[in-house]
Amino acid sequence: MDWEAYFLPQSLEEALAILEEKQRAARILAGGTDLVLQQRRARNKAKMLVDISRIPGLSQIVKEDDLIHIGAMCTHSDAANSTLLNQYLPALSCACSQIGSPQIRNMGTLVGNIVSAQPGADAALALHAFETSVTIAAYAGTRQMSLPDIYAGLGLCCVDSTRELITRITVKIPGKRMVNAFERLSTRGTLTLPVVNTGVCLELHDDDSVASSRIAVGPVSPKPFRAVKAESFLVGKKMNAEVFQQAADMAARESQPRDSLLRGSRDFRRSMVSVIVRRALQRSADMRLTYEG
Amino acid sequence: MRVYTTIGQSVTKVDGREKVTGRTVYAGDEVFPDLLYVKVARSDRPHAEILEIDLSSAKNIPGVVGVWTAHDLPGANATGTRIKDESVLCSKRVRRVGDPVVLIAAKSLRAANSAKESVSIGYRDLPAVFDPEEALRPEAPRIHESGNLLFEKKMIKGDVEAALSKCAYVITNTYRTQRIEHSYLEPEAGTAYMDGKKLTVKLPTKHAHFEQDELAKILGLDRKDIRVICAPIGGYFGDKQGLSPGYYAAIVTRLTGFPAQMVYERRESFEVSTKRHPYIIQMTTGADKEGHLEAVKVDILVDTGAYASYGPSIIGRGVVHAVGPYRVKNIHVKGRLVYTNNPVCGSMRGFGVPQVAIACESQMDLLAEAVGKDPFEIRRINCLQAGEENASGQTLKASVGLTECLGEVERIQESLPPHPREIDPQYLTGWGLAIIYYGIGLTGLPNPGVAQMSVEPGEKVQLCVGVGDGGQGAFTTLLQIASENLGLSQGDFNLLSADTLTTPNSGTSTASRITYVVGRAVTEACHHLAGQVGKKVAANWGVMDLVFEDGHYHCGVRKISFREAVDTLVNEKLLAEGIFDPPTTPTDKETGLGSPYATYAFAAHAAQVSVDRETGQVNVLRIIASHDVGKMIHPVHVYGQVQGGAMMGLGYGLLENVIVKKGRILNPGFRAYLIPSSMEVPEFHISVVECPEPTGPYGAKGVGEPSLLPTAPAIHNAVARATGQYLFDNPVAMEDVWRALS
Repeated sequence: MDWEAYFLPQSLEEALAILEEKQRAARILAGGTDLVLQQRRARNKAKMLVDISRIPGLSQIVKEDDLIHIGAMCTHSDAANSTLLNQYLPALSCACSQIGSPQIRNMGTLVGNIVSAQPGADAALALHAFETSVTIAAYAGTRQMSLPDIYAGLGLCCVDSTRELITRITVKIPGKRMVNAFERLSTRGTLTLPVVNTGVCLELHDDDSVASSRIAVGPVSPKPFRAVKAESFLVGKKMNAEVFQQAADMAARESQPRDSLLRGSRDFRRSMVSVIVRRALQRSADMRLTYEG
Repeated sequence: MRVYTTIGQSVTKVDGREKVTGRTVYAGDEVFPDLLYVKVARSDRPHAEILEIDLSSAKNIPGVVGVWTAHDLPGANATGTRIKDESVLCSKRVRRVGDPVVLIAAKSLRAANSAKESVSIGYRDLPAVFDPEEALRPEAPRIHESGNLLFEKKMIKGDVEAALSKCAYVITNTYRTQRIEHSYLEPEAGTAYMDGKKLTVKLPTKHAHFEQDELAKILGLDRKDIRVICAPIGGYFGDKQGLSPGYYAAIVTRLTGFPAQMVYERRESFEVSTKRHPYIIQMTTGADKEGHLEAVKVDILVDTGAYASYGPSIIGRGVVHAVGPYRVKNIHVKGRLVYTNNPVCGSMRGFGVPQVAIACESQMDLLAEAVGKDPFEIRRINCLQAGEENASGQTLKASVGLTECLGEVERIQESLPPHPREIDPQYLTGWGLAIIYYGIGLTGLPNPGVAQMSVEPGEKVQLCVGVGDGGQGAFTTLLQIASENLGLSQGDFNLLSADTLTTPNSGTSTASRITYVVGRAVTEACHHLAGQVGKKVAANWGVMDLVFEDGHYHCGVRKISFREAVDTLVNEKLLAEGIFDPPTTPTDKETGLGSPYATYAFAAHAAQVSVDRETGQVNVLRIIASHDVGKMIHPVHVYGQVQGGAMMGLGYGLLENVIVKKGRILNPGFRAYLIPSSMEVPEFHISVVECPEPTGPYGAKGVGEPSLLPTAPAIHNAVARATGQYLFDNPVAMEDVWRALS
């Protein structure tokens, strides 16, 4: 691994100024768990790296009214151990606790998980179960984008790390009662890619019927996938095992997993979507009890 | 019972502190100011004729010192541990992806890598064969002149067909096993340099003296002009002997005079190193109506890949062990070893036996079910006892602790409380049992262990053995044996190991033989040394009858310690050599019968698994392991071997699979090749049975390979008990279990 220059900016402005000055020869480095591997392998390596770990305030997780903000340097370990996330977004903290290994979780960031744009990336997938947006800072100014929109294709993100960076992730907490959960199936207990994974979030009326639902499934298409038919099926229904099973089966039918050497055959993976979606729905419903208590 | 001072004690590992503090210098850590970095450009074709090799651009890269092909080699271009069918560099033809073609040396690793990328090799593809059954057809492309059937081995006893026709139960199934990778932490590495006129090579190896002979031919040098030093071994699990980075580094040093180093990248290690052989096993088991085994018939077809490596020896051991540790009068086992254009398979912990153990133990459980006996009972009524004859017709005279192992496993299993998953509706659970035996030492071959010792006044006792320590604790164990014999402690010795200049040839570190064979040689050397010192004592005391006991010479009330005797009564350097060659007979060429091993280790494992009803995911919850090791020299090492072996067996049974398509490995790295992690470690219950082996040092046998053998078969049986479905392919993959359940 080699580079011509390594920058440690002390402020966001300084970081953006470096990107601007280096005219796409420099690239943002946060946790580095993906970037370091890319530097080793890729032909178009970044000549210069801009390490944002010294910029103050980027690893915070804060709640502001019905919004939760997650900073650009927030690691998977930070998220997994956050009481705020465990309370409001257990699907996200659970997903983060299952990524890679302890070493990877201590270094890798949630924002990096989005920027790498893999359809099965656990943290990013869990974020798809919520109304999530990101704040993107560039030399020219700042803009907001909703999460699904920043995926340009398999492994492709609209955010260009040689020109701009995501400063924070913002998740909107629904106004009504909300429950959410994450499920993952993998062949080994740690350090392995998911066969399939899912994040689900249900917004509930007072009578426990579903007001709105989100079901994100990965990796079953080039981008993180939302099982919209299953989602709309759930709306207005009372939560019970039979309803969950029907929704899970619908989600499986909507999903388009491929035959994969490592993850398994298409048939198997599609069946597994049904299993994990049902389990995630059931677990969210079970959580409602403790949530209310 | 005899009380020992160090035998049976878990003394500090002699090389432990160095390793955990990161001070151990492995072969790839050696530093020289003028070191050359070595790379090999390899074939990307499974079978092809080499038309042209263009080295011009590689040679022009700054920092590149040399780029060589087969024509530049200084000596023989043929190598192999059993048959010399491999080229050091291929000149005309490549037979697998990864065959070496061009050797490169440069002043920097980067230059060496660039040169490797710049080498251009023109090929004409040849028809290739990737399936062992297809390889045996007459129209199949010939991979070597001799034909694709490399080796055939049989074991025949009684009349199997006649016996099967009378059996109340006959069970036939076909089992398939996969290739797996050793996955040692340290990839293959080697450093070579000139030490005066001696070309010296440091590399991790199972057998330094073999490497010296092999390198002499390849380098075109007299063996006395080559010194091979076994560097600290960062794991080997049966691999690390024969053509490897140390060889290429040595060639570069021979051609340039400069020190040279090569370390395989992980991907290269995956692609080039040998794998555990995939087997196709058809097994027929016949029993009477009470379940007593009457006849076993086995047909084993083995894909060895493009080269023989250890294949013939592995199939030899596989055939001998195919019937398992059972009393069977009528046996017909046939094993065939076939060349293909697949990756090369070779020596791996278990050496041809893990595969047959899966088939054999599944058959025993199926028989138990058919007869209506439990898995313990069916094994108890059939397993070998002392004084009985095994499959190869050898009478096992002593140290047969199998029934005790079975008893221990049953006792522990009954004592355990129910596992929480047993009442969780999401899971099916079940216990599975498997037993094995394993011959210690090479199969039907002389394999002497040699140890040399010397002592002089005021100096430490020097112990020289020709073997390295693969992490299992060989050095510590051998020093314990020497310490106990002479009444000394670890610090009183200076150990020299696996160096062709300073140590004798003690044979290879394989077949779980170090403790038993080399350990016994150490005992012999100690006896000779103690005898020589004893003569000085007797002369000094003017006595005839002297007793050496507990590290002291005694005569009546007079008493002097070994150390004191050396320091006060010896005025010269005394040398002693101990040799132990385990008594074996070669197996008969036609029938395969004989006494191939002097002693056998025995083991029983039970595995409790949970199976997710909906996903087919198998988790091993508990493993109970009982091993008859003869005598534990170092309990912590034995327990470590049992746990490590069982985890390797768990990986074999559930996870690991080198996926090969058209001769190419599709998962050459740890991202896609999954070995068990700490999350897969189950609850362990280990019980060691000590049934002393009269010819072993303090009664010891071996445990290195036996430790992994019963685990995968026990998992198979547990999954079958949990799900009601037998899976005949290894590993038991989640998707296969799901299919069986749905």
